[in-house]
Amino acid sequence: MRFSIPRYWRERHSHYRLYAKKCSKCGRVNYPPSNICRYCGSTELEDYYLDREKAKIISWTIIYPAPEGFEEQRPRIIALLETLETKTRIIAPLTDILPEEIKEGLIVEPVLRRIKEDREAGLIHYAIAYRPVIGSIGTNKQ
Amino acid sequence: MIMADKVYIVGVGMTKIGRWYNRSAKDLFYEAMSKAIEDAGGVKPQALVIGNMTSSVLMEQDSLAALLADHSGLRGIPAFKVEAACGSGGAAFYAGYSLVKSGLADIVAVGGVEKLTEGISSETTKALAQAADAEYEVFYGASFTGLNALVARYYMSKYGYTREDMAYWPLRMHEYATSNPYAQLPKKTSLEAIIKSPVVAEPLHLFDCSPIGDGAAAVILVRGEGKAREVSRRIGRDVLVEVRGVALSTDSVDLGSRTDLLTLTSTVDASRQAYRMAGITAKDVDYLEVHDAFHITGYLALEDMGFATKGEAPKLWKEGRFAKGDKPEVNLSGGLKARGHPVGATGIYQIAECVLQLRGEFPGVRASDPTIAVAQNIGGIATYSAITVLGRAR
Ligand SMILES: [Zn+2]
Repeated sequence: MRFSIPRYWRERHSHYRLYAKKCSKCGRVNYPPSNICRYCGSTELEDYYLDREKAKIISWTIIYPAPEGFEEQRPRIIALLETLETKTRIIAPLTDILPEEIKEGLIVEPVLRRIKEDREAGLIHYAIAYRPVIGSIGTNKQ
Repeated sequence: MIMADKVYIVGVGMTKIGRWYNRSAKDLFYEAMSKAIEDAGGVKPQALVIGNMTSSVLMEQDSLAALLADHSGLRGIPAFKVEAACGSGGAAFYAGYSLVKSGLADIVAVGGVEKLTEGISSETTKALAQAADAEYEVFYGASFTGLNALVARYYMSKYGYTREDMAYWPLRMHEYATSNPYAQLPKKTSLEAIIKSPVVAEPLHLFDCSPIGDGAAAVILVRGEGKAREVSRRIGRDVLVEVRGVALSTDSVDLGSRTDLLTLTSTVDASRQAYRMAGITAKDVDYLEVHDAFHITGYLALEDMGFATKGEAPKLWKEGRFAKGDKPEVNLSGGLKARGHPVGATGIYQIAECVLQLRGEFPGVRASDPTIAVAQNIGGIATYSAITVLGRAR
């Protein structure tokens, strides 16, 4: 697949740290980051990193026919999450979880994971995925 | 007095939607355009606007509008492509309307064409996913169906619907499509077959989704009642179809930053504007074609265009509302679900179907003598909404 080195270098803050912009006026986090607050129009925004927050699952899906580049990762679990502190909603992959363990409201935490690789160049993409907070799922069975 | 002149649709043409491995976009478009010109008594378009999403990626072809003009006997006329993902057709119509309304051209053709079957399916899945946000959604491996699945699950969970409750949409669409000669899936199905179809992106299964197909459609617009009547006389038609309202709205590309995940805000906005322009309310709509790329988008459209309270559309639908004989009658073509969804052409199919319903000439399930028809075409998950209001005049 086509692989743009400048693009993924440029996007490293998004993918490694969930870089966002927090509005100084209305207080909402703009993610994707924006130079003008999409909720109140203010241009006074400061850098904010969503990887400092845990999140809860709002909705999720298990994708079977994968888009090009993800054929080896089928099925792929993608969720809509809401961070606990700033209530920011993001789309992110879930990891370290079984389909039957996923439920609305489950608390998850960010972790850096391998996302995909460019087969020809051998470059590997890493990005934030979310895993269940330890102790939030599973029981010890005798 | 150009600005006061009304705009009319005097010709429509469509191809049967399918996996046309043996036909190119040029072939498909030529067929649709020729039919539209013939339907309009042989008028020659002075400009061409094309709705298309994926030619760059899947056909490796840009300069699409000039290519199609050249292959339809229209070399030299102004022509350009409009891209608004799955809403490209509706957006192209919006552009074509403004060309003819403004007086830049007197006769304008608006076409839509899409070839989704040129490559392998993971390439098509990737191309369609490009309707979503490249950096914040597609990068993580989200498919377009996957993103719709996030909305569907949230809706079903919030309002307590099962997969079976939702399945009445595809069930009815398949039934209507059986008599539509342009439909990709003209065959009946059953609730059981829908429920048991293979999973695509939980909770969406194959039969909850529109199919992958190729197709082309075209319509011809003229300005002024005199010109429209001249065409009608020439071909012995006593019905005029007037474009009474057009609107186009946008929303975020990414889903996360939306304040309300279960409202197609751009559809709310565009339908209000288009109704106002046409001087109507939702109550006046007799016939409706909505963008049911997935059952969820069909239900949300009914709610967001003013035909059902939020959370109630699947319940009303299951009770038999919006069927043949109700007001409004919805998607008698079979909708995207069963007529098919050749992405950038879909919005033009919907408009062509509305025109034929208003004329009483639709070759499938016919609406009950409608005078106002509305088409809703969206791109992405209503990142774009194009609403077109058509009215019958005699
Ligand atoms: Zn703000």
